[in-house]
Amino acid sequence: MPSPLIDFSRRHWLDMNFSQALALKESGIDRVLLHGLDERERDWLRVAMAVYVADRITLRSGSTSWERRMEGRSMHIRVPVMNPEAWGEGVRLALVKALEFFTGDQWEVELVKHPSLRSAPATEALFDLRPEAPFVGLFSGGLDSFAGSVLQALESPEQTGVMVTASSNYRLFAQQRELLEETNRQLRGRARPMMPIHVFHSVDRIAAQHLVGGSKQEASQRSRGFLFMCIGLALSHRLGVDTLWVYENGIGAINLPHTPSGLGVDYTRAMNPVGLSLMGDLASRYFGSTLRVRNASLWRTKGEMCGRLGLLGFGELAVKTLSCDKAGRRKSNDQIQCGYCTSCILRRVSLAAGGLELMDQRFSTYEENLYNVAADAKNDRLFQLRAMKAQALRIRAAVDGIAADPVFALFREFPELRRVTAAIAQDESRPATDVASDLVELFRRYVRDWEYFETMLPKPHRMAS
Amino acid sequence: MPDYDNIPRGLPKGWRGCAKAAVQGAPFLAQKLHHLTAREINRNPQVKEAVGLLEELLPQLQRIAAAPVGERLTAELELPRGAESTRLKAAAVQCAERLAVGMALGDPSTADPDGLREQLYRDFCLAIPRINAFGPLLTVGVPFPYEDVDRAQSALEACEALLEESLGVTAAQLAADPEACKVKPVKAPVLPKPTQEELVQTEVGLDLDALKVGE
Repeated sequence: MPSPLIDFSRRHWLDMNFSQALALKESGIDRVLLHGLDERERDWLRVAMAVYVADRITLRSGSTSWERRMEGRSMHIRVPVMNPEAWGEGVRLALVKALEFFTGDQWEVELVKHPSLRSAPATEALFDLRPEAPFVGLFSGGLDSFAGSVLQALESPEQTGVMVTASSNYRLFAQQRELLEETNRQLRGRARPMMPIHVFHSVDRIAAQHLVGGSKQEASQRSRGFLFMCIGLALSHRLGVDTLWVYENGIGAINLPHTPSGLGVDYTRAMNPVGLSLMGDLASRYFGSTLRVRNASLWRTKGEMCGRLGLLGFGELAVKTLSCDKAGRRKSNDQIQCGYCTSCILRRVSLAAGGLELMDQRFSTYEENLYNVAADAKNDRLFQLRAMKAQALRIRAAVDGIAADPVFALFREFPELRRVTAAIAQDESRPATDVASDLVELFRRYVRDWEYFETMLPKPHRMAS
Repeated sequence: MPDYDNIPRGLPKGWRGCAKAAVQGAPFLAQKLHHLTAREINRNPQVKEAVGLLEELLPQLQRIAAAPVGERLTAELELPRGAESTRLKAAAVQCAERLAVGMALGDPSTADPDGLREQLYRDFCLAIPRINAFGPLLTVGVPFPYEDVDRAQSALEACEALLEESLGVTAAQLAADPEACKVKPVKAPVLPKPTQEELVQTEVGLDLDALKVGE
């Protein structure tokens, strides 16, 4: 069902001081991010923020989770920008294509002249911070971005990593800052310290203020990764680099459905290679120069990333990161992770496969410890474990021996991989058949990670070999 | 459909029971769903949209089929706007992707370009129970992690009741003779008009006449 037009050029939106919703924090000094960017970059972020706000305030219809998954949304937004002419047909089509991939919804985006903004040059604040030979990466503070950025810093010791964080609450901001500071202490003498750019945004608050009748914000947040990447791409452009790095293990990035009923955007596509390719295309068209989003961890399982961290002496710091889907949403002790969401489970699989399970048990706190979980534990606490096991079984059946052609068997079971293969082949300029074979290998190694993890589970929760 | 032949030993009790129920339930659920699909097409706008999308994707699949094998794996399926905006449309896209995979990797069942439409529709019908399209009950047809066998079994029984209510036949009758309970097409949806030759009837009883454009 078409949603009504969300017109961000109307007075009540402009009064929200929308253009200052993002603030840059560096060395304890608050700067208004948008003043450090040029007009084109500011417009880019205005559109990204508008998309995110629209996504949060437009609830998917239906009273049950099943009904909400059944129907998509038809979104229509109007966004005021300094320079609507920069959003030509090709750019808008690329924008819509990316949004439809990430959110699964139908989008229509209008760009209109902002009624009151005046032209202002970018300040040099950001440019002054530009280190020599930087690489720019997104840093969420989770295990993947921590592992990926540390490994990239150690593999490129002549470069300085500029790590972009984005947060909408101070606890998360503090955790990200603390983790980067501790990481830099441990990198000393081995690599250049990473330079943080903390972006604190109030876009969630803006969305909350525009909800009708006190209803909740849309929980799926499928455009959250889009916003984060847009922030990173604007900063990459400002810093004059042509690549924005992200760090998501290959399995998590591709994020195949856990059950056969999973479909479309049931599982986030935030770091999917297809989405990254679409974002690169969009940014390149809009900024008029080549910009890419690349995943430095695409060909690693999370277990492999953890294993390398352990060997390099970063194991203790790794287990102190947070992965839980619910972390940061808790009112009380936000160091406790639930232990049974898919993010917690993949984390434990990977820490175990990487040889860090003892540290994990010593330093991490889980509400439900799967290593001791009772056979009759509440079903909702075992649901995701079972679903992920079902997926591991399907993958194993495809890639391990039984099928004559593992590529065919895996792709037939998960046809989503065809689009993924095409995107990677294009990005890496490699033959698709090579990419497909490498994907089979990646998933084969993931199954090994799972099999090791299962040996740690109480017997009733293991599967047959 | 997933392979149900190998229910692993050592599963938790509920899981194993569920898998067993799925194995027992799958064959007739698949048959039933062919009929339900035909029935739903006549009254469900989301199905109409999805079928319209199948028809849009079909020429692209035919182009992929005509391309050299080496190019099929990366040949882009140009998706129309909002192509995945409902679950059924997303399922249609997934089915088209699966067919493209088959063509790229030498699945003999995709060798006949003239049979692509039938393949596509058949896969789409099979996708419906898989994606939970018409309600949680139908998920019993796949190894979905229900927590216990009782729940899976009762879901299965509810499916049977639904079947009887919808089609006036029992599960046993349907399993024995799918041809005995064809759905009579009611009112045809507005769809791209297939030719009479294209209106084939599949071996498991899907009556593609139900897809026929109105008189």
